[in-house]
Amino acid sequence: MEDHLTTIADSARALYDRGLYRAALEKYDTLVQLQFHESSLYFNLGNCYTRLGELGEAKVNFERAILYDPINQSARHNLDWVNLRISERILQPQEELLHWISETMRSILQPNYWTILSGCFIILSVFLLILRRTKMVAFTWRWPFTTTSLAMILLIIAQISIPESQRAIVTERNSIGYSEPSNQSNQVVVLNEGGSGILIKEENNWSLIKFGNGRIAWFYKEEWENILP
Amino acid sequence: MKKIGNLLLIAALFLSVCANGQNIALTAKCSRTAVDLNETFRITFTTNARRGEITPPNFEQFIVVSGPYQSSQTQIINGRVSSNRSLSYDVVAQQKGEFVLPAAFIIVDGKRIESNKLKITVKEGLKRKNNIQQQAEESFNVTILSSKKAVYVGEPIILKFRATLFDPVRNLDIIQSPNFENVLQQQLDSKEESYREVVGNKVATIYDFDKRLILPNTPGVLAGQELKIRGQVQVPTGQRDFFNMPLMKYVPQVASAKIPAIKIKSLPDGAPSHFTGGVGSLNLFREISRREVSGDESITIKLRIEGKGNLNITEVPELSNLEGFDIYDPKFNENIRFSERGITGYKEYEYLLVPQYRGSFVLPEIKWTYFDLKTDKYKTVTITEDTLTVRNPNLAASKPNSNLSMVPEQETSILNEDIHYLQNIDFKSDHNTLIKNGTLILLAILGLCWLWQLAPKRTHLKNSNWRKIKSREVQKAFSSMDQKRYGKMLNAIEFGLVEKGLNLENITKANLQKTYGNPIGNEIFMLIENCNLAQYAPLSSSNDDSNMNAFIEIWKTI
Repeated sequence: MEDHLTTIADSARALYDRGLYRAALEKYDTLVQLQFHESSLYFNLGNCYTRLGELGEAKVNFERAILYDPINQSARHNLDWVNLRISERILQPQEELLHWISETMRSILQPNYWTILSGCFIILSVFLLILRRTKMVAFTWRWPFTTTSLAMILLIIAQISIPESQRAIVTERNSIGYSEPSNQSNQVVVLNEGGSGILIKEENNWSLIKFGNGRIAWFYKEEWENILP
Repeated sequence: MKKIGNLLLIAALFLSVCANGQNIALTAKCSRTAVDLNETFRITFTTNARRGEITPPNFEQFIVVSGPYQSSQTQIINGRVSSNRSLSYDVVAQQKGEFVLPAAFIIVDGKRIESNKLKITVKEGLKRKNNIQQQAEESFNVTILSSKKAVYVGEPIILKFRATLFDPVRNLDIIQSPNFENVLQQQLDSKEESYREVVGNKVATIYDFDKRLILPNTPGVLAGQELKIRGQVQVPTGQRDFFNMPLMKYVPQVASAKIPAIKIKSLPDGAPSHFTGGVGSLNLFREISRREVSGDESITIKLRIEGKGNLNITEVPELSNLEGFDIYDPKFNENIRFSERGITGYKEYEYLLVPQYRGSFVLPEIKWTYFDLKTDKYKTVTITEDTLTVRNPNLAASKPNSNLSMVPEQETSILNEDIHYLQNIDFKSDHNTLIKNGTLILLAILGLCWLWQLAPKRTHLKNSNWRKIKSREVQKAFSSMDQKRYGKMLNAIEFGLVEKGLNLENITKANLQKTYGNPIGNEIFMLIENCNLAQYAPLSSSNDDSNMNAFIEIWKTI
C-alpha cells in the first residue's frame, strides 16, 4: 500500500516539475480521497493551487498543512506569500484559547505520540499495581496513583491536540454576505477570494460566518471551504 | 354461371392493365397568371397517378394564405377507368415582378415525375374584381399608427398595429411582420383591444392587436417591410337556402399596411465629452450610505440614472478609483418599464467600499450629460465632490500615492521570494486505530488493577500454612540471630493484622484493643513498638527471648 501511495506522490511531483499543475493536483487529490491527512500532502496541494492562481484554495490547503503540523515553516512561508497576494483585508478571525493550547501541544508532539506516551504511563501503573498486590505488599499506593494521574493528563493532552478548526475560507472570486439566509435580504458585506471567518452554523445552502470584528453574515455555502477537511 | 364469372374476371384484369398502362403525368395550374399585389390566387397540382405523394415547390416569392387542400376523383367512362388527385394552395404575391414557380414532383415506382413550371406576373392595378372579391377586399384593412412623426435618434416611438373590420372576419393572423431597420424594438404588454366605431359611413370594429416601442439608432427614415395580415372573410354566395336566407361563405383575404413615414433626426452637434447617449428626461443621483466610518464598517455608494428616456441603452457613469479604499465589483440593479408612455424606471451601480487607510478622502465630482427632449438641448448633471472620513485606529494613516511603502519590510522580502518547493510525504502506516484501541485496552486493564487493589488479599489467605510458615521464618531468624529478625517479626504481625482488616502503617493502641481485647491488644502494641525500636537500636539476647515468647503467645490470637 505504501509503495502504491509513494508511486502516486512521485508521479504528482514529476507532473509538478513539468509545469502540469492541474494534473499534479488531481494526483494529490487521489491521496486525500484515501483519507490520508498529512501536513506535507496539503502543503503540496497548496503549491499546486498557487501555481494555478487559485489563491483561495491554496490558502485553505496551507492552513490545513499548518493545522496538522504547526511547526511546518514552509507552509507558514507559503501562506504568508498567498496572504500578501489576496486582496481581502477583513480582519482574520481569532479562534478560542483551547485552539491555541491544542496548536501548542501539537507543535510539541503529534496527538498519536501523546497517546503513546500516556500508554507507557498506563503500563507502568499497571506494573506497579500488580507488584504491590503480589510481591511488595508494603509498597505504598502513592506511586501507582501518581503514574496513573500522569497517564490521564497525557491522555487529555492527546485528545486536546487532535486538529480542530471552525475556520472557513472564501474559494470563489467573491462572496456576498447577507443579513438573512436569502439573497432577497440586505447585502451586508462582500468578501474576496481568501477572506476567512468562523463558521457558526449551517442552514440548507447557507453558512453563518463570524468575522474578526465580531460581525456576522450569511453566505452561500458552496463559496466557502472549511479548513478542517 | 361459372362461365360468366370467368369472363367478368378476365374483363377486370384487362381494365386494370389498361389503367396501369396509361402515362402518368403531373400538371401545375394557376387560377391566374397575371395577378395584383395582395390578390389571392390558387395554384393546383394534379396527377393521374394512384400512388406517390405530390411534393410542392418552394413558394419563395409568395405567401401561402391557406392550404394545402387535397381532392381525388375516379371516373369510369365506357369501361375506361381514370383517376385524378390534386393539391391546391391559396397564395398571395409579396412583390411586383415576373416570377417562375419551380416544378412540383411526384415519385412513382422509383421514377421522379416533374410538373410544368408556372410563370406568374405580379402587377399593381390588375385585379379583376367581381362583386364577391370587391366585398372581400373592403371587408377589412390594417394600418400602423405612430405616436410621433419626427423623432431624434434614441427617442422612443410607439407603434400600434390596428385592423379595421367592416364585416365578420375570422382567423386573423400576421403573415409578414414589419422588420424595422436600424432600430431596437420591444413588444409592449397590452391587452388586445376592440371597440366599435363609425369609419366613413360604416360601423366598423377597431381591433388593436399589437403595440411596439421602437428606438431608432440611425438618422433617416423609418424603414422595413410591409405588415401583412390574413383572415377569412364572410361573403354572400349569391344563393339562398331553403328558408330564403342568403348563403354565406368564408374566403381568404390579405391586407397590408405600409411603414409610417417617420423622420429620424440626428442629435445636434457639439455634444459634451460626458455624453454617453442618454436621450429623454433623465437625472443622475449619487447616494452615500455614510460619510464617516469608525471601526471596520464599510461604505455603500449608489450611482443611479432615473427618469424617462432611452434608459435601456444608456450607460451609468462608473465610480472612479478612490484612494484609500478597496472597491469591490459593483452590484447592478435596474427596473425599466416599457409602456405606451415610453421607457421609464432606473438603473444603478451599487459599490461597496472597504477602508484600507485612516484619514479623509475626496470623492471626486461627477459630470454626466444627456440630451433633453423638452428643450432639445444637451443638459449636464453635476454631482459635486464629497469627503469620506475613516477613523479606524487599527488602520494605517493614509499615504497618498505610496501604497507600496505601506507594506512592512518582512512582507517585502516575501513578495520578492517564490513559494517553497514541494515536501516529501511520509507514508508511514496509519496506526491511529491501533493506538486508540491499545490505549483503551490498557485503560481497562488499569481500571481492573485499581479495583484489584480494593479487593481483600485472599490469595495469601488461601494458603492454610501461612501461619506456620511465618512463625517458622521468625523462629529461624531469631535462632540464627539474623539482623532482619525484627523486620520479619513485624512482617508476620502485619500479615496477621491485615487478616483482621488492620493496617500496620496507621495502627493505634485503641484499634488493637478494640479488635483483640485490652490485654492482647496491649501486648501486640508493645511488641510492635519493641520491634520498631529493635530495628534501629540493637537489643540484648534476653530481650530477644522475651520478645520471641511474647510473639509466640500473641501469634495464636492473631
